[in-house]
Amino acid sequence: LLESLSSLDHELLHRLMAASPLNARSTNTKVNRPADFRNYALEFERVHMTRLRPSLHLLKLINCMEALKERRLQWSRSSLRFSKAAAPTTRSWKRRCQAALHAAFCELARLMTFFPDPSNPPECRAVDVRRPMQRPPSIIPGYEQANIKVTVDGDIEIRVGTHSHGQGHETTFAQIAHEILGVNFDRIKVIQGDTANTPYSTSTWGSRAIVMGGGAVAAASRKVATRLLAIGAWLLQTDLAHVRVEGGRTVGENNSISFRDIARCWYLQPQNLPADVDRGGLEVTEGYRAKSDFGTFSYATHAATVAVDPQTGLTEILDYVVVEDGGTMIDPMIVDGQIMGGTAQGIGSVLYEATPFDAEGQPLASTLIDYILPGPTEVPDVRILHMETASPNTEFGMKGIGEGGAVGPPGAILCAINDALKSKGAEIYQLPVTPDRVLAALAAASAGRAPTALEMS
Amino acid sequence: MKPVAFDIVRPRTTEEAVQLLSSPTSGARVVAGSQSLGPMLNLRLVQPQILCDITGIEALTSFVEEEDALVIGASVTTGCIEDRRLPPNGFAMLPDVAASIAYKAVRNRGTTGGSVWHADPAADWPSALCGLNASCMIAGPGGSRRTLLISDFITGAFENDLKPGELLVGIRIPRQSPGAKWGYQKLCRKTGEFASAIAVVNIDRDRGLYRLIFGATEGRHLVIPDFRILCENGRAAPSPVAVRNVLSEAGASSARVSQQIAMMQRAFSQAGVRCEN
Repeated sequence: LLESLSSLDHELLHRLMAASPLNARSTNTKVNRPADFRNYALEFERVHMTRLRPSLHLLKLINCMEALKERRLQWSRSSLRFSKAAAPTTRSWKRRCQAALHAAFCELARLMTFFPDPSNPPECRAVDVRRPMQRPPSIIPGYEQANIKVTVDGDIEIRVGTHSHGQGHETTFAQIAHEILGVNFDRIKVIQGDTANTPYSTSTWGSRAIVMGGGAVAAASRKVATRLLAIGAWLLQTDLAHVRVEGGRTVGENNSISFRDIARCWYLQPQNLPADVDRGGLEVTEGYRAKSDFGTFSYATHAATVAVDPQTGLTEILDYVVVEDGGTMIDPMIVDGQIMGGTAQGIGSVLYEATPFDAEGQPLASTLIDYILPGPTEVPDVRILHMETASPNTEFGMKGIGEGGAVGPPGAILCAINDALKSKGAEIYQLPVTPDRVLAALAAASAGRAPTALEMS
Repeated sequence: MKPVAFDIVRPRTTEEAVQLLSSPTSGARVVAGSQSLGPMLNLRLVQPQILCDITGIEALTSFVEEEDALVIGASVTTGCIEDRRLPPNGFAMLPDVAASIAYKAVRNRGTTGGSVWHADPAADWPSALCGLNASCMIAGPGGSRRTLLISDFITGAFENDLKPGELLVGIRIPRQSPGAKWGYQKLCRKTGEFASAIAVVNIDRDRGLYRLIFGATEGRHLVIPDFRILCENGRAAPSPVAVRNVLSEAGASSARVSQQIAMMQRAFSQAGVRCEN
């Protein structure tokens, strides 16, 4: 970990900046159109592989390079991710970033018991944080809509275009509606990701679903609440200023009416409604946009302790710690599950998963017999520590948690493996780290040479 | 991922099965646990007209204990052996090997005979049973019987010596003497995966057995009938240098050699014999 932090040095970043084919252009002229990042990635790889000691934390996230090149404030790495909160001034934001990194790092160091004296943590090297020269491109731009309907029996139906493929949106979106409307959780139904039934959406990607979809659910809930308040106040024969929504009811000063009765009135007894009732009724579609387009996802720090068997080349994960700041957690159990599942996926990419082809182009891993996924015995008991720094840019201060788990393991585990191999003079920067690659790197190191491309293929 | 259309025939006796297999026009293929054949059918690597399910033959699903050996019916499942439904004395290695094979669901269906017949070099039973110097019992047309050592029965990777019309009916495993030592070690990238290296050691002085077997090899498993020829300076275990040469000559890559030697050292260590590094 110390080594990884020292690799945060300015030199590396500056050299990468200098290596960018777009660099000259971006210093002289404004870059207004989306850049072609492919050259940059290639250049990065060339610099990375030949001129610099491989800083493997940087290897995985080429998209962070995009951010760097555009001199965006926000940048992320495989093991350290930052979300730009707000950038009031360069200095204060830089200080906040550094403080957050330092806090996460100290916590991690303590958890991993790298440093026996917690009162004297090691110094965290400065992070290169810059103020944007110009408006950076968006990461998660745009809008999201949610539709909310109060049914005739007072239940809530939510329709969203995002889709859960295991993230538990059915739970968290309902929790958000419950937070605002107070309707019992078991009376809220979430219908998602069906173009015949739900608002159109680009759906779930880029850790956006909870922030964008969840934000839209909150906005729609608030809007339908105003309708429930207006009808409720009329039926309670009180002033709109004196009613509030609470526990699935419109509550006045000394009386209240349930959403069920309000819904019954709207749908079945329209003669009892006020003359100026909102003709949109008890169904609304409302849109949402986060205050920031520049990514409202979590940041995470991963650390791994591994054992590498020099005889068999097998890697065993002995300990794994994730410190993650997902902002306000809507459902802590789901957040844990996302981090745990993401980490398992990341372990798969660093140690097991590959789709090789033979010389004739035949796929060699076309079934799950050949394509190895990590199973229960390969994924360690991941220790997770939460830091809840509320985002100022989202509803409730929540942040997207989807990717923080999966992105960290390649950097953390590969660095740990290389740390273990260092005493033998070997180093690997190909994924996945198969036993054969480890043994080839060790054999090459003992012969005093670098492993060949064929050995690492 | 669908097999070709086939019929299933379920004979009740060995004779019925042999009769079916002897018919040159039947296009029959033997199936027991279907743990190897099943995927092969689905990938259409095999396209039989008839599957001859031998699990209905009672004689093939039992253990028969002899004075100096145990005969395991060809349809006895690995799970059965794992659960120690076999005689305890002299066969301690078998449950240990069984428990390490794939997953419980596979063990509950997969059979010992099927594994030996399939002769996958990365499978556990061919190497383990060869280490115990076991033999295959074969029934043929006209009531003929023959017995063949596993090392002779398996002629190559996924190849065996069975002739048309013959059926593997059981495996005869010599009993280990009380003082025998053994070790079985394999290397898997993931629990339950096929092994990338296997070493089996069987040291039975009373019976004059000093066997060392390497599995998960490129071709058929590598049998060293008397490992003492690889021992140097009067040591009890082979010298890694000598073994390295043997494995390299057999075509193993340097990575595989390193893994096989590690497994051998661990197998000897399991047998209580120190093996130099």
